[in-house]
Amino acid sequence: MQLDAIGKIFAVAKHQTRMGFYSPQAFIPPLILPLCGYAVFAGGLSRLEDLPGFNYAQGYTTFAFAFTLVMAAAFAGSFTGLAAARSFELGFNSRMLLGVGRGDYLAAGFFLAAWARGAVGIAIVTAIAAATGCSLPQSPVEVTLLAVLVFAVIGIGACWGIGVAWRMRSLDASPAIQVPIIVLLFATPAVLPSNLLSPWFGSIAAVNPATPVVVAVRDLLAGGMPAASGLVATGVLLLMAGAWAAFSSRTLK
Amino acid sequence: MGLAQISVARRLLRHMIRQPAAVAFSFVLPLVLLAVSTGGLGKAPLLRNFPADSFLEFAVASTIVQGALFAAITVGSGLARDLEGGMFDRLTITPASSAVIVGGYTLGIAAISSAQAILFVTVSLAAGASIQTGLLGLTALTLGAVVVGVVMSSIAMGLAVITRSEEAVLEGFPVVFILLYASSALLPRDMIDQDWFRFVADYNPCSYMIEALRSLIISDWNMLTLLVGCGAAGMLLSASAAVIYVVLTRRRAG
Repeated sequence: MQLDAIGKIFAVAKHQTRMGFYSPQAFIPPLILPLCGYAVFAGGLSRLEDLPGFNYAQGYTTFAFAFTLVMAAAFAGSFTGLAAARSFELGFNSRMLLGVGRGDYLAAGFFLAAWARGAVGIAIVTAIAAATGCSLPQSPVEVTLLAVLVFAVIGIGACWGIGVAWRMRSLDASPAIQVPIIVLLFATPAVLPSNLLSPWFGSIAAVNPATPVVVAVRDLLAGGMPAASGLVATGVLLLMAGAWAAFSSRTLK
Repeated sequence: MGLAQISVARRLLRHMIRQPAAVAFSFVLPLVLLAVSTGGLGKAPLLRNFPADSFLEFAVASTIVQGALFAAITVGSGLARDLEGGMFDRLTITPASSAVIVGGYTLGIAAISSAQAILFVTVSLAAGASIQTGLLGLTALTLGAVVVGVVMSSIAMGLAVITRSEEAVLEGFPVVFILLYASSALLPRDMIDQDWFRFVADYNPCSYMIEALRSLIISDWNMLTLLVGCGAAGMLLSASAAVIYVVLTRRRAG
């Protein structure tokens, strides 16, 4: 029975992954905003590293890339939620449910597809960043931790998107999926470190659970180990988003 | 014909007011982005040779252009929807020509842009910004916002008449949004270190429109900057108007 369930989940994941790569409309949009953000931040704002108090050793390009990486991962996950919403609107998910039998199996398949699609998107973003002078971690431990963090963020975006898609079951879910993620991401030290933010904005960033995640990625790109708070925040966010997706997926029978 | 334009403009405004999402998109989102950019880049004036004492004053101009862009997308998608659904054809059966109808849309966006400018400047003043050119500058700023709104909406309407698809206009939005930020929206052009980005900003008409509006806020009257901004706006408006005229004329002839 368990092998049967795993087989069904992988079948859904395989289908959604294939759909994601064959359809430019599904593959390109999650990459556009992060890449354009990277171009604008690293290209247009690099002078900010001259600010007194900017002490990120790897330079502004790498500083900007950290945020881009988190944004690309979050969007890769959330756009899978959008794909799920589209599938609901087209009636395809209802037909898939006949095959897999349970809504949570279907959701798990989308979740795995998010990782597969996200992995390719992240690879593209990272390759572009490396080609434009961004420094990447060298030690296997740091690379592994960075990959774990990035995939965790993909998972957070995917769980959030899947949960909303399961509840709304139409493309009207699009703003509900994307706006909270955009708000969470931009209320972090996106363009300057925390010590250089305006006081009121710094207070908001300090309580934003996405801030430790961005800081942890930045620390890893700088060749250091992230603070425990970054790993804990990522874990907590993933658990919460996962619970949201799990409860929402059971509404489909 | 003036009455026809006013009627079309009123229809556009009524349609917008009845959609809270459209109002939020054009009026609230730019303010949110202004808050985020001011909060995130508040220390940028500490850079040597930064032209403003406060990033809020620096960013108001790009917020006005941004708001005009968002409103233009709403107007452009509305025109595309009318073209797609046949409403535009029904309007042209009336004595009002296509030019009058497009003029009505333009009048509507002028009203929206002036309301946006007044709102954004009021919020900025309440948050501590000041306008160096005083009341006359504020009037010029509002007029400038109307011009920018007309320019942006002409681009969106050009896209609408070419594609006749609401979805295509909405999909063009990210491209134009990127165009806005590949400019001097976040830092002055002479403070952009990366040569390729500065090259793009130098050839981006949005840079000159933003700088013209910004000069009214952060410095004394600078006629050269204002003229260059007007020139960039005029260039974009002429190109878009030509496209709209050619496409609608060919459509009528065909």
